[in-house]
Amino acid sequence: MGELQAMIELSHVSLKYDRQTSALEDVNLSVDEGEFVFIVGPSGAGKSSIIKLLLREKVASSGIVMVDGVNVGRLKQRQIPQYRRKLGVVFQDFRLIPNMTVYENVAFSLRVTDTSNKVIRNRVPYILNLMGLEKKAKRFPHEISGGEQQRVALARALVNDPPIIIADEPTGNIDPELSYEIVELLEGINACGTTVLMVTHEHEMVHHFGGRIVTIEQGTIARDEVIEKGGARQ
Amino acid sequence: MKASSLRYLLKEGLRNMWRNRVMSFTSIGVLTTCLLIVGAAFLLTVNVNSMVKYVEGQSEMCVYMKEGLSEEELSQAEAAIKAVPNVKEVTFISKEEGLENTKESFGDEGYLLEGYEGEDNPIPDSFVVKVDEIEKTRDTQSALQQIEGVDIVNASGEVADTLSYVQNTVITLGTIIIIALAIISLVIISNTIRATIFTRRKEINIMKFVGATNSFIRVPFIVEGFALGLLSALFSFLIIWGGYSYLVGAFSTDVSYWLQSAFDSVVPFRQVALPLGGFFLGTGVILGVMGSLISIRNHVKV
Repeated sequence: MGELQAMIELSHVSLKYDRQTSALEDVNLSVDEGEFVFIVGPSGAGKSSIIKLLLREKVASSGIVMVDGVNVGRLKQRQIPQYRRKLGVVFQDFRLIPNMTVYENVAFSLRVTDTSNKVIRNRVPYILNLMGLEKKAKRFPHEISGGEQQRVALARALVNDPPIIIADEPTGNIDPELSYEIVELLEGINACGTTVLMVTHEHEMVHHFGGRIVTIEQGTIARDEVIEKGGARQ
Repeated sequence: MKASSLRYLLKEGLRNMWRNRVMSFTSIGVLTTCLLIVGAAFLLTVNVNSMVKYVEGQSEMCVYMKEGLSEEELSQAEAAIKAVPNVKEVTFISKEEGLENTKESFGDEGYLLEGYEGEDNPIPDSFVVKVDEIEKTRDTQSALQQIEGVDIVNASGEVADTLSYVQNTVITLGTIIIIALAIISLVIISNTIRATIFTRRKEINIMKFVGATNSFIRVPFIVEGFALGLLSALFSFLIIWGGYSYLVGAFSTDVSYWLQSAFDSVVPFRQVALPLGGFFLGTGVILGVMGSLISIRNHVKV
């Protein structure tokens, strides 16, 4: 019997920007299917570099990045769009398309995969309902609050039913009380079997929710631990 | 790609045009202005050429022969005249015909010339010569003067000089205007495109992260550029049609004689409508699509 394959596997991954500065050094990280992992650390430690590698925005200088059985570094240019559809991504700055309504922003994710109009008409309202956005469907991003914008981004990430959700500082630009709401939504998504990777620098929040926490410092993994809900280390 | 996706991308392109209406308006304005000025230069050139042709058709040279030439000498002279370059048409006017013509031109006073028929006819034999190119009138005139048996060559050299001067000036000015305009419009269009890139860069980036393929991102932009070009062509055509018709109308109702005669050579709009419309359509659409392609070329590679 072979070992169950990890959903995300970074082995001996380094990322150098030039000869002197390297963002990541010999990082090893394995995330199983259905896990919820917080990645924490000070700014500039290399958190966003991991995201960039996973999104294939950057290619590792050395080492292997495997995502759902795909060797990300080996992808050809024309394979990248198909690969990215496996990942639902949420950014700190929401990255909604400003001149599309909430509905269109969410539907866009489906349009790129050649989904039929019939499916789009069913799926988008369902997801918007799930995120409590049914009344905002016709609004434009600038007409709704930051917390709502992030929920739209989350809806867009979810609508394709991707195996992995990557959240890069999703609570960085919204009010604290709404931040907890976003993480609770992510937990709910995780409970349905989706692997979730959330990057944040808000330690307090991480300790509130608990779970697996990977700490990155100066481009390497400093700690990889599981914390109980409420803050106590296990 | 499914038909429903293609329909979506088409609609998306047109919708984007409306969403970015300030930029669309600017692009249409720039493109329309360029097309209009080039169109106006084209119409001016066409009309000056037509006017020159018209005057050329009207202008004749009169070659008066010496007295007492034999039939044979006259036909030799005729052959020599025909051999001169730039000579298009030669008509022989005998002394008798010449006298008749002169009488006619005298009108009611034609009786004054009665009694000059036969031996006393003071009008010499002559040839009426039409030329191909009016600007060579002076050369042709002196060449005709050299021919054996020719007495005087009458030509409206001044008219020819003025006309060819006008024609040359218009062509030179037109060329300068078109070149200058091409440079100016290139600068403006590339700036508009740069502004478009700036506002759209983020949007393209987001689309890439959602997993959109390059062609999925490109198609709406191409549709948008095509539509912008089409609209610019349409506007230019309507404006130039209206403007030209108005000017021609103003000319034709003007009572002054020289404007009336100039009006005879004005090219009617329907005669140039097809080439002008085709030019507007082609240039507009090509520039629009090219602008879109340039603006996204460097930004789909994320």
